[in-house]
Amino acid sequence: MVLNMRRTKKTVIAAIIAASFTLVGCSGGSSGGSPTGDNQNASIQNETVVALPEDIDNFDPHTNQLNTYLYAVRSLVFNGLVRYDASLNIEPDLATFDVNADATVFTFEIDPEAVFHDGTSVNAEAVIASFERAAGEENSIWAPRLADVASYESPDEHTVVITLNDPNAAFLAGIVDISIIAPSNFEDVDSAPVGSGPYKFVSWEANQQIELERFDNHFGEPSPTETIIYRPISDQQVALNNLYSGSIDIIASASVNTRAQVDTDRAEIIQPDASTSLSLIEFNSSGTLDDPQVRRALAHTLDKEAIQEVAYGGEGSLSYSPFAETSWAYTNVEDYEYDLQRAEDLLAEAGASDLTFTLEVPSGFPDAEQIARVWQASLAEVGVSMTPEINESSVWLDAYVSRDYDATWNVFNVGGDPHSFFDVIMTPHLDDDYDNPRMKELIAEATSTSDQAKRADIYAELQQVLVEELPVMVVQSIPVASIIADDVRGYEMNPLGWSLLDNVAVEQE
Amino acid sequence: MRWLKGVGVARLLLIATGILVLTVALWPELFVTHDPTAVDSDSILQSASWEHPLGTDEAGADVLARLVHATQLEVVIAAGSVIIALVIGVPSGLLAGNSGKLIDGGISSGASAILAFPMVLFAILVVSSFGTTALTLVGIIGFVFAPRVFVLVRAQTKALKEREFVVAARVTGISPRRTMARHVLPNMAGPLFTLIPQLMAEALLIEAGLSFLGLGVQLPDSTWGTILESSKDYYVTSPGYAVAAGLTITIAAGLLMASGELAAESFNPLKKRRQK
Repeated sequence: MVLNMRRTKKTVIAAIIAASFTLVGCSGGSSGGSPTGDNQNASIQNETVVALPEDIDNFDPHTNQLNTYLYAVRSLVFNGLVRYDASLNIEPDLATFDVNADATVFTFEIDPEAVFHDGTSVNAEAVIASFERAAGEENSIWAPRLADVASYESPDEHTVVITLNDPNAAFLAGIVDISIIAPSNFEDVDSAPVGSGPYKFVSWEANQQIELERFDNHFGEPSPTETIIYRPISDQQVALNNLYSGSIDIIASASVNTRAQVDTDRAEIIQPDASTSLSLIEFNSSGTLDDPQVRRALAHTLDKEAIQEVAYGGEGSLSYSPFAETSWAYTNVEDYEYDLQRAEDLLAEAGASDLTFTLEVPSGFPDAEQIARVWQASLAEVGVSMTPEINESSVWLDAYVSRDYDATWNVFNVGGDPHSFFDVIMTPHLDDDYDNPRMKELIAEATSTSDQAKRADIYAELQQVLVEELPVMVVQSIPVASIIADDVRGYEMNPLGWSLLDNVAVEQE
Repeated sequence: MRWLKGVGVARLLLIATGILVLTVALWPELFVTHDPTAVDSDSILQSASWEHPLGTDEAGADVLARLVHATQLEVVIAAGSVIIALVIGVPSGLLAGNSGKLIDGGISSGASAILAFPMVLFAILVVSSFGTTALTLVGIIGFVFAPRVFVLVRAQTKALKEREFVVAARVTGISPRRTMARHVLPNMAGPLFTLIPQLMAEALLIEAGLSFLGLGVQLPDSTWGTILESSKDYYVTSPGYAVAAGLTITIAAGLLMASGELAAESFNPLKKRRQK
């Protein structure tokens, strides 16, 4: 964060330089085929600067599931075959799609205009190569979603047919996350990604900035802004002051507490209609906290109402279910009342009265630090000593992936299909530290069932098991929001908490 | 009341303050009734009241109670780091001041290297390998202070070594070690006692600085620095919270600086105040 302060100075200088370039650009007439015409183009700044809560150090869309990465880089640099619209309905991205009646054969017609940033065509061969990479790459996080694929076929250059062994209702929503990478880029995609999206990746300086540049041969609607600069700023107050000073245009993720401090004359708060973002505590069920009874005792010490007030400004839903109450998959699960006496009794029964554990927290999430503080105070009252370990997100991620923790805070966005929670969050636990064959079975059953009412029953049971065993404990839903400067136009945020930046423009003063 | 005049009102006040601070550090619960770690979601970020004289923080804990309870760690950090600096700096300074070019040059270059190394970078290095506890902070600050003590002790040794009474002691056959202990060391007490409170003041400020950069102690421990750090996120709606934490640090550092000044005066016969 020292670097942060120095960076602020640099940012100001950079902004001045950028501004002077902009002026030169205007007088020289602007280039770069904008659909809005030169007149309008002249009134838009060439550069939009976005503050991210954390840095990104891996740009491979098949191995990185960090939420910040997904919206900041993956959604602008890459395309999938299909994508979510702003309200999380599935719509065509690279391809229009057709699904047969029992959800086993998926036919995609790829847009013939689509090209990668290196100039090669996005054809059936390239798409299949990316799917095979996502299914087979050693560290691929999406491999489970493609495990049941029987075949990929390409009847012609722009058609891909994916056939599954068994019906899978969640398949289409699942492949929203499968990015199509340029085949020549497979080896170094983690440091210099090449996709077909509206922006190309230019550079990354660790903890300094990530630069994206508009891709003029993009097959879809061209974006108004030429350059997007991301700056990782983990301190939101610093980000806010930068926004006021004009060196930052958008703060991608703002906590409720930061929002309360915003001067609404100088900035605007943007919130999606709903939020599917979850604040979670994940346990290592093979470690110190391997006894479900101990985890249940810990749940009784979690004062959710206090957390809601302290960390989330009184907003969000307190349910232990990972699904929004409006979701068809939601079931009313039993809550763990905040009851220290009960917790103490359960701990004594389990023989874990003088328990000590650590809670991993990534920096840049003040809400997580508040949760740690509230929880720590309650735990101390029942004789449990919990130490929060606040680490930079890359350090946190290493510990998370290698399951080198007792408990860890995490944020997750339940996608369009409820399967995403069990797929992304639960499956790695089930394959590693948390052994529960019944849950595995249920998850498989839920995806191979296409009738929604039947799926809802299966998800109801899954939620019961989840809440009873608590391999993962839902704290509450997170009211997501961004803060934008008042000269920013076209900015939206979806319920996943993603910044949608492809239509953003900053007005010229 | 002659003794009072001899000590001086300013000194007396400072000594009283010092005793008060130590009492606060040892028995904080005598001064505040609230539990500094208590979380109360019904009273978040309240302004000053009879119940909470300095208001409450973002988790509803009493700010005064947190500041008072943090005094203990502050004393540990300020005193601990200075003790480490003295333990390293005094013997090495005496040694360098008494040795030939080779040893003197070697130790002095080492000290210059430490002085030249950016403190924050060093702190980040240490904290990322050992984690942030009060002990690591004491170690870091003590290590950074050591060359300052060393430079002073070395210069004093070199100057005192040439003074008549030391030469006389040596001529009469007193061993060099005894000369150092009985004649050289006591005569540099003045400058050392001037430096110590100033270093302690700096230790408080460095601790606050490191905490502000996120390198401070982790909850449930808190220091004035970490309290100030968390208060800054709410300075628009609750300015009192940040001001309380900031003023505490400023006043404490100011008092320590002032006692350094007074120590300098007491030991310097030329500066001594006229007292009849």
